Amino acid sequence: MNALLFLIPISLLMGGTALAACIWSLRSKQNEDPEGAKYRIFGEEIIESPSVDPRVRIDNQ
Amino acid sequence: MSTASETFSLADVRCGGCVVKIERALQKTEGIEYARGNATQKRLHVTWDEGQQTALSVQHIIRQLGYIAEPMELLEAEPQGMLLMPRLSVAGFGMMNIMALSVSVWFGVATDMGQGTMQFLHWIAAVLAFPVMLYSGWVFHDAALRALWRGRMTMDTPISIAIIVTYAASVVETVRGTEHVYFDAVIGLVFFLLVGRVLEQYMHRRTGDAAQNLRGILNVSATRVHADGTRESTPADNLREGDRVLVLAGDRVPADGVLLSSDLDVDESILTGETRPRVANCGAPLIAGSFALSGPAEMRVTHVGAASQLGQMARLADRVAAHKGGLQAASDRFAASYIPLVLGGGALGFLGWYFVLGAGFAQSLLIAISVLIVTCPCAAGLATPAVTARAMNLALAQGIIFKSGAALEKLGSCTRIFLDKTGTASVPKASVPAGLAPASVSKLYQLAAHSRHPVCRAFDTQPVTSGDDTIKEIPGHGVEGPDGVRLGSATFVDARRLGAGSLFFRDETGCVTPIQIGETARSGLTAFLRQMTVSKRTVALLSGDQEKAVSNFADMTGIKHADAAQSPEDKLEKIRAAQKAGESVVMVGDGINDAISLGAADVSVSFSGATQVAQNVADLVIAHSDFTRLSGAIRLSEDANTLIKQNLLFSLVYNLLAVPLALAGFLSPALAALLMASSSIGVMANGMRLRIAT
Repeated sequence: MNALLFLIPISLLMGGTALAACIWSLRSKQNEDPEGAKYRIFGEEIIESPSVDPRVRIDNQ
Repeated sequence: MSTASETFSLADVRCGGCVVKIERALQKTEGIEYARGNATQKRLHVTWDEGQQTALSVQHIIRQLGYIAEPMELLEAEPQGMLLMPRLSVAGFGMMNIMALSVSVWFGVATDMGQGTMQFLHWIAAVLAFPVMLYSGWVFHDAALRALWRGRMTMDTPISIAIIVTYAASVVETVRGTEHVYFDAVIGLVFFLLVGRVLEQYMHRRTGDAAQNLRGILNVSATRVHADGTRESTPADNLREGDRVLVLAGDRVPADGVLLSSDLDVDESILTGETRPRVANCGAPLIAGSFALSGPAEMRVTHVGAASQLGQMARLADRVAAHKGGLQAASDRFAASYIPLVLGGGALGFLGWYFVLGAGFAQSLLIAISVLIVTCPCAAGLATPAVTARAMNLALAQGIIFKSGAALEKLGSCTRIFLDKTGTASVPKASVPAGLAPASVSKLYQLAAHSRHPVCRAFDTQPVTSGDDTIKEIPGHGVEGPDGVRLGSATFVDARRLGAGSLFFRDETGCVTPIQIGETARSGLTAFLRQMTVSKRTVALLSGDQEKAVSNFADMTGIKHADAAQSPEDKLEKIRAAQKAGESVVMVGDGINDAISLGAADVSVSFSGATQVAQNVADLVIAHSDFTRLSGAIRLSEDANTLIKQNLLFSLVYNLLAVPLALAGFLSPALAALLMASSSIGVMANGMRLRIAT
């Protein structure tokens, strides 16, 4: 039963982290536009972004 | 560098892809600082550098992409309600963790869990439940306290009491070290109730957003001309009496005034429902909100804002509409008479068990709490909104905007439907003269198809076919084709001798034919009338038009009851008389003159082409120019009423079964909470069965 003394706090800490992340996402208004998000993931800037190495795209084709 | 920003409504955008497309195009444009669309609300927020862009240029960029953006005035004090999602997440976190602890206690008690371990788990549960009880439960405590402050009770009063008393009792039991604590019940109660609230708020907000987008369309800006000839763009509200204002073709007239230039074609359909344009001569009055079809023209402002014709009618209509809203009062009365009963039942349970049956203090208290929770009128309270919210959403997807749940409930039980004629039951239709040669008829259609002018749209032609360079439109006059064929005003075809009439056709030989513009039934009217006959509802015409025109139209469509030459007061009288006779009246209208009767009817309906005043007063706005949508809405309302009755019956039966069980002590608070939550969910699920008939 001694295991409970540290297992319960650990589980609460993990759950609490998830709760904090959830509230942070609500505060920063990430859930305001669920309709637009599904179109934004296919953004053209991801393909045109200079940070993407052009050779990678060639390899993929 | 200074920046300006504006929120635009994108009312006609179909999908989120378009919103993202507009947003990206703007972000790439020079001088745009920030552009972010919201596809859920169909709105776009743009911030720009004032040195490089203006609101108009931003609008123009969006128009070039093929979309229409109208700047909208956001109502500042839009009641957002409490932010529920963070409170729900805390309750969800608490519930998951406490359930893990509770389950181990339930099984541990039966097996070999030691007293110390059990108490340790109870204390953790008490700590976890505290923020849920206070922070998440504040939604209920706040409402209960507000009501208490005004000396009233609401649905939230027993919930709030149950939450606090159960928590306090559980803490006492934890201190005493017994095995009966009910933290899981408190949290389950809060969590399930919050889920219901969140869903309700979400549905309500979606409906409100769409309606506000429509209203945002009427926000206008004006171009003021100073004495020295300089021009300045200003919101219409800032205009003063005596100002000179420039109106361009396609602009809305910003205020009531007098035309200073010569001839201007104005489309006053937004105010009168009359889609045929009026030709205003120099010195003629112009009405705020009407559309200039030709231009540019200058006008002198006479009345602004609330003093304008539109503003006055809107105020009058508001006053009539203010007499409505009986449902809210009914639900308050329900709560006021029901809640004391709930509290009384709880008190009776406690007193009965403690004093009469001699049970312990803790046991009596828990029975009282079970009664409080199990009788919580959530199922009864949700019975109606669960269905109306679903129905309003279904209707919205079909382009039918219900402004209130009450209108939805009343529509299904209506017995008499009054229709305004011009612009509502009928739409203008141009008929080709019989004597015209077939070759000329096809030329006439070709010309008509080329213009967006309402008169040309009154022909049975397909929408504008562009790309034909030989046909050109001269705004304010008419359309000209090859070989000098012309369709347009009397001056345009040079046919002053022919006298009356507003539209003429001239063929290549120079022979001029006047064209009659009559009216035809709005699409779907016949089907609508047939369905109303089947469902035994009376349909009657109430028109301000001449006797002959009205009886002709009534004969043509087969409407049996028709009254002609009705002033707005006459219409009001007719509606009041029908209501006195015990009928439930629906009024369908479109003009400013209908506003009063729309406000007086039990349910009022308007089409999206109607005047803004009519749309504002109407309980129900149909975005499609089709009568079958109205019969669809009526059927939806009937189905919704059936489901509401089922829900009310269900919650009655539930209470009749559950309350005696709780009073008899068979239900623990946890079981009571589970029963109560499942009855609420049952009612919600029943509401989701509603489908729209297509």
